[in-house]
Amino acid sequence: MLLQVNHLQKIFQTRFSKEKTIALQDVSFSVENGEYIAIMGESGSGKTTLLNTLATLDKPTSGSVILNGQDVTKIKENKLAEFRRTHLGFIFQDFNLLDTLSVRDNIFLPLVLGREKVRVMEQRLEALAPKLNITDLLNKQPFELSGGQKQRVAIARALITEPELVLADEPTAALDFKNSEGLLSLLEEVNDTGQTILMVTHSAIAASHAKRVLFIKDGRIFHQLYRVHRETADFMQEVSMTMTNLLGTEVR
Amino acid sequence: MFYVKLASRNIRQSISNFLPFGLSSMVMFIMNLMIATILFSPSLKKLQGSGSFALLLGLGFIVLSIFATIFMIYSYRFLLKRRTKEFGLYNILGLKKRHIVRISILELLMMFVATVIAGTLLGIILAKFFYLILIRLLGESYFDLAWSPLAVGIVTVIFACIYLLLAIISSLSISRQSSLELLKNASKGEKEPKSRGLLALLGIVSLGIGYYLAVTVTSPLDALTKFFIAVLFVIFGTLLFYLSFTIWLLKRQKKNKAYYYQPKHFITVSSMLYRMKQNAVGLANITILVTMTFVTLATTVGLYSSINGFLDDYFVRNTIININTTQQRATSFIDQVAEENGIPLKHKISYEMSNSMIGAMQNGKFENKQKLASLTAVNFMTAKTYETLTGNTVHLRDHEAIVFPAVGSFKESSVQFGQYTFNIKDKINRIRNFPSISLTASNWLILIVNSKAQIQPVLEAASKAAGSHAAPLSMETTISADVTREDAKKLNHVLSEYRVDGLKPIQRIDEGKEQALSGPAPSVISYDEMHKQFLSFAGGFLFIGLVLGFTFILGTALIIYYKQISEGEQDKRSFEILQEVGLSGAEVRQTIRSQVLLVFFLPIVVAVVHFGFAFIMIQKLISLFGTTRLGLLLLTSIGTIAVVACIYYLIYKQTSRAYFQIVER
Repeated sequence: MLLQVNHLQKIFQTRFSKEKTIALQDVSFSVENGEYIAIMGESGSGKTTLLNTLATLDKPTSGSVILNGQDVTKIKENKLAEFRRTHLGFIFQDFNLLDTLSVRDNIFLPLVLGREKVRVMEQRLEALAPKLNITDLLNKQPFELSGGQKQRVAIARALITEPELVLADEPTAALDFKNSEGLLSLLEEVNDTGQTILMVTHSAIAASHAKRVLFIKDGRIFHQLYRVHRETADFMQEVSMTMTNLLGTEVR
Repeated sequence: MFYVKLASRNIRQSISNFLPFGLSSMVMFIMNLMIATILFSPSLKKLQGSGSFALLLGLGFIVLSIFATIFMIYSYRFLLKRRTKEFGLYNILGLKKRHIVRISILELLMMFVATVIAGTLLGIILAKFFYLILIRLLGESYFDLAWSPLAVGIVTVIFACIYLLLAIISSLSISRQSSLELLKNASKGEKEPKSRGLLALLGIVSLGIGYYLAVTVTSPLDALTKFFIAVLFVIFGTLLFYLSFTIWLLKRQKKNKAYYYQPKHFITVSSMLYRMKQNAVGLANITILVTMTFVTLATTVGLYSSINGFLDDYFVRNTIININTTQQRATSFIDQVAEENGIPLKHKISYEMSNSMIGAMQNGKFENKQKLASLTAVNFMTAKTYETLTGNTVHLRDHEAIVFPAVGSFKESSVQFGQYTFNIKDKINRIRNFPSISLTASNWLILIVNSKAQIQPVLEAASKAAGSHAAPLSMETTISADVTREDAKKLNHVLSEYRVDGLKPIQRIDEGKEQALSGPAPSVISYDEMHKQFLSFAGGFLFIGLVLGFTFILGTALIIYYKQISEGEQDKRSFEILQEVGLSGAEVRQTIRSQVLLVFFLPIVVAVVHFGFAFIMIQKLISLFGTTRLGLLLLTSIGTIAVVACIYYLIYKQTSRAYFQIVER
């Protein structure tokens, strides 16, 4: 078992009012090695809070997150950056590439921060670039790229550290339909090589590319669906239906 | 009315944007008003040497006005850039560009009125304070400065012109851009700069020329003319240096993978490279301003602090009398006049020399040419005079001379005057009981030769070359003695009625008689009189230097502040991303610090190098007014640099806090 989430609870309380907002309530689930999980919910459901907690960007009020036997909620503040760098890979909805760096250097960034040897960085990139179809882009600057290209570069940056878990936060939100489709199948391919991926999304299309979908509403996990060898189109139907029925919301 | 409301609301709501602009506007106004108030104050005329001081103040006022204009434009463009998004939004929400221009002009108008009102009040108070400093610097004791409506009026008009210029800039930049451009202005991608070899070369050549000019200055007058050319070359060179050389250096660092791919260097080098174009201009501005501060302050402080030394070098006794005749005639005449008037001349020293021959001295050859770079005054002295002055005995043959370069240097083995040549037997550094500097701006060379028989033909040839209308050159006598202040005045008065012309009889002007008298009156200068004159000049200079230096430092502070703020905003997102990808807070701080430190040190280091070369010129320039004390000048310069560097560091530390606050969440 790669990741185990136990009874996670997160309560927000503003400093000047007694009013509490419960963002996560007794969330428990586990992720096996090589899985591709989508956590689906509408905005305000708590899915981003959940992701931030898993990403160690946010501390839970109670509960634990255990990655490979280590409780990430207990890691000291000054060790967190290093932990994120070595164990996790991130894909953001607005790509978060640094304008000051070339594409190649953006991908190298986490390795440089980890003081990796230049030779190792180049070897890894050489293996990774053709898979993500970014070989031609390496010497460009981020502002010269299209959205789809940027996201592929961001995936390369997430994968180059060979992380145990890749966390994706609405990776298709800033992309058009065609680019979204391309990106989602690319993530599937990445997952096929054995990379564990956890994605947070509100889109049924995006979710239907995963192997398992968890539904979240009002800070609770309500339901889960397994894809089991179905075509994405079929699976999407079911995901969409579930969303409508269980959560009472209409989704695409 | 609606626009007025909108404009005033804008200022109140984005006060953090308007504050730096408002402050720079106010400070510039106050500085200008202060100078103008003192300049137009009637009490200035009561000061000693007010003429030259008023000239200096006027010059300072012009420099300040130009500086204020440049600075306000810089400041306003920064403000405008930060507000383009806001204007774009107005445009999209349905305001016509004409209306937006109207709003921005109304905003400017409000800032202008605020500047004038607050600036006038503060300026008048500060002018009094500064006037007090000025009076102390000039060595005067009374204090009386009235505020002058004329000064306020003039400064207000100047600032009205500046604001008009800003309004034009604003309306041009708003109407030129489309609304979408206005909205997006803030987030434009920049292509990595190319290092331009040609520009780098040009920059280095330009710096080289500037430095070369500074190093090869030969005389004070030469320094004066070359100074501004050198300054222009150095300013141009500095800009090109930052534009090309630093980019080239960073690119080289980037190519070195083992160096570049280290966490510390990686982020610093890449973000510096990304920003280098805008950085270069900012750094060049800071460097030039810091250098200007150094030069202004070091020159004026150096000048002021070396007055006493200079006067000590010149005044062998506290009063010096110069008479245009031979020593024998001069001494007996002066002794007689002194006795008649009951003036005791204590510790009397007298010596005679030839009149000054002024011309160009090049490679040991003296020519009757007015060439500024090598202008030299030459005086001959006989061996006998030298012996009585110093007590040393010298043996010179007819074609031999001992050389004493009092101002400037002399390295050749012979000196030639037309057909007459003297071989240099010896070079000396000083003559006892003889001034070691001159009151003129040119170089000064004293040649000691065997007897008047050697001097005469040279003088005659020179007189002939000068033409018939010029007075023939002969001998003159200098008598130094200690005389009380009252007696010196009396002596001056009495002697001014006499005319002395070489070997002709000394004549006295008779009242009521028409006489054709030739020759100048004997001149009397006293230490006290000279000291006062120098103090008023150097004090005025120092005052202007302090005001300008202060303004330059403020300018530097503001530029650094703007730089930090704008960079902080650009870097905010980068550092957020870096932290998400895995840079710890401590590492972020370390990266920022090393980046900031580099930007801090670069201008200071370059400015110190610039100053090092300027120092050679400054030294010559100051020797125009008289110092030869290298040690003192070096000390005051180092002191000035240290003080400015400290202030600069404080500014940097303070503005860095602003940067940290923006970048850190």
